[in-house]
Amino acid sequence: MKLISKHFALAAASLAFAAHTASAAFTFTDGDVVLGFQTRGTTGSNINVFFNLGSGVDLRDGNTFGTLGNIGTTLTANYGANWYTSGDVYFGAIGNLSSQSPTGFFAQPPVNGDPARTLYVSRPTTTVGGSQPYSYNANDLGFATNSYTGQEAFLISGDSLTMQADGSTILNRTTARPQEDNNSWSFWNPFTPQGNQDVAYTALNGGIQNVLNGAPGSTLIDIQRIIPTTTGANPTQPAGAGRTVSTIALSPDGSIVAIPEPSTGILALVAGLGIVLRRRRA
Amino acid sequence: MKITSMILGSTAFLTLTASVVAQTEVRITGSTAFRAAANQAIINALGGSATQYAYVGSTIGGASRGIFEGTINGQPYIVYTNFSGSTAGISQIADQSTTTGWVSDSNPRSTAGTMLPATYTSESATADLSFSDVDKTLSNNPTAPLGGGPVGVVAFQFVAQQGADALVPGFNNVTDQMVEAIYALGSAPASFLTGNPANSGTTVFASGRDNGSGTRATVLAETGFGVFRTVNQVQVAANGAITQFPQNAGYGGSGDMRSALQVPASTNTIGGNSVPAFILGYVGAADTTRISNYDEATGTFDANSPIPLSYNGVRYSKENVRNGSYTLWGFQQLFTRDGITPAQLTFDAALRDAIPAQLGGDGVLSIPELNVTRSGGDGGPVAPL
Repeated sequence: MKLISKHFALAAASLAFAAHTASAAFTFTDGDVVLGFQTRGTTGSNINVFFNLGSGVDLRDGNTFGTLGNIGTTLTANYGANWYTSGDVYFGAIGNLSSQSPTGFFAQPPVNGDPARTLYVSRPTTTVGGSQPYSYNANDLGFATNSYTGQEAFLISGDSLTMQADGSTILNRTTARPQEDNNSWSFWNPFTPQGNQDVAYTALNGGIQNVLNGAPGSTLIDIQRIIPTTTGANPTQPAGAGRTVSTIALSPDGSIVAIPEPSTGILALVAGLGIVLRRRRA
Repeated sequence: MKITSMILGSTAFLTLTASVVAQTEVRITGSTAFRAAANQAIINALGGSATQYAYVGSTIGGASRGIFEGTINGQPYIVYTNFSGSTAGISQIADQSTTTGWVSDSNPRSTAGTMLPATYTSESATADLSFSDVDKTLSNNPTAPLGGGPVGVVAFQFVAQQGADALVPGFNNVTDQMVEAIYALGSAPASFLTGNPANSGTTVFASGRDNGSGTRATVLAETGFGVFRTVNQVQVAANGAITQFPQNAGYGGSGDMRSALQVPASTNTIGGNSVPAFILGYVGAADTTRISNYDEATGTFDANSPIPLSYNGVRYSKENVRNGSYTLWGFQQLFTRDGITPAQLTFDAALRDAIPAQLGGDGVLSIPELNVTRSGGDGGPVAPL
């Protein structure tokens, strides 16, 4: 039984050459996982920032690791120089290939081992892979992926988006069309009047975002894969139970690093650096 | 003398020419749910029995395209209609985009109304006015500098496909929660609608309108589903074959929705195989009467017809709309484009004056007759005045 420290994991991941290279321009394909940002503060209150983490399948299979990009310029320009420490900026991730039903009439077949309505979604954590597994049933995943389709549509089309030089893109809700504004990151990741994260994407209780309040080193979110059925799933996992496939670390300078779940093969690399691993929860 | 004659003749010619040139054209697009009232109001505004008109369809009440010629205070007008859907209509007048299918001036018309063949001569044009079941704030042109405002109230109903009652006896109600589940997930076992486990073997599929439809926007707003949220809908062919629409797509017109609801559910197939299933759709209350002979006074309707449903336990009637217990309705808007001419505005005013007399028909009410109002726009809370 071994443990991995957050810092050693980051060092290991950044040393490895990234199989996923940050794009110069933001593009988005169905099934990719998006990193989304919003602020509860005044500066940039109408701005959502997006960055593409790549396909959910690549995250799942450990093909995406290392430094994916650096969007510090965009975050600073829109949320202020103190975006990492203000406690106002929130970020999370979500991705899905198909929101159609995996069962019954018009059932959609699995694609690359992911049944339809498989959801990749973030959960805050303070240690790599340390988040509690989500528990959502097939209907929850149906509602969540259905709600996400409107957001994914404009990420793919680019409607109302302004591309940034660092590979991110922004949605200005003030000038966006109603279709995009009502499918924005802020819309689907609301807050209660008390300032707590409310239900995201219709069905994800408590929200999916972590807050940037100056955590030393980096702020983490685990990306969990949740499948609605085990039929056609490869790799398989219990239906409805989230399983961390990757951890995304956001550093104060804006760099985004993907740390794959240890059992996906990168284990050998980090083991070679003398780093111990956290035992993955059953 | 010759010169005088020539001058008089020229003056007369110029006067005649000026009269011909002075005919004002007005093109109207937008909501199909209000077309029956709109068409008759146009006829009345242009001179009533003296108005010459023609239409595409079997009746003027159901016609989405037409041409109307008459006068207002002696000034000649020619009005074209091409109803395409509420939010699409708002976009058309906001963007001044060109659309096809307008009835050309060359088509015959008469005071009795001429039914045009499917091969009527058509043309492309932009629109000046648009009827809409929803306010522009729910369109993709929320800040467009449009004139106009509400002219009436239009009610809608959820309707189950003809024959659904044979599959699920007694099914007569849908709630907003059911709508959210079925339209988000695409389908549900009928037991979800009835609470009877015996109905679990029958599937109900969501069906409805496309993204430019004000009917859809009103229904999605009122049920709380969300106007800008993706729906998963199916379509039914005349032979009962059920197929999926592309994601978020739906029927382009109310006529197509009506036709689908009238296909017997007993003929439904998926992939060539017979299935115990039916579709759930929605239409204007006037269309419900058209396809099921729904009697709002009693709630009865024809056997072997599509099944009008209560909404949140309340059946549609004008009285239930007036008193606020039936809330599946929206304000009918009439918008004008930016830069509309004074002569066109004269027609707009005449049309608004003519509309109230048409609001005694099925599914439409005048605003003053309501004992309630709706706050916050489409889908907002209904409360007593």
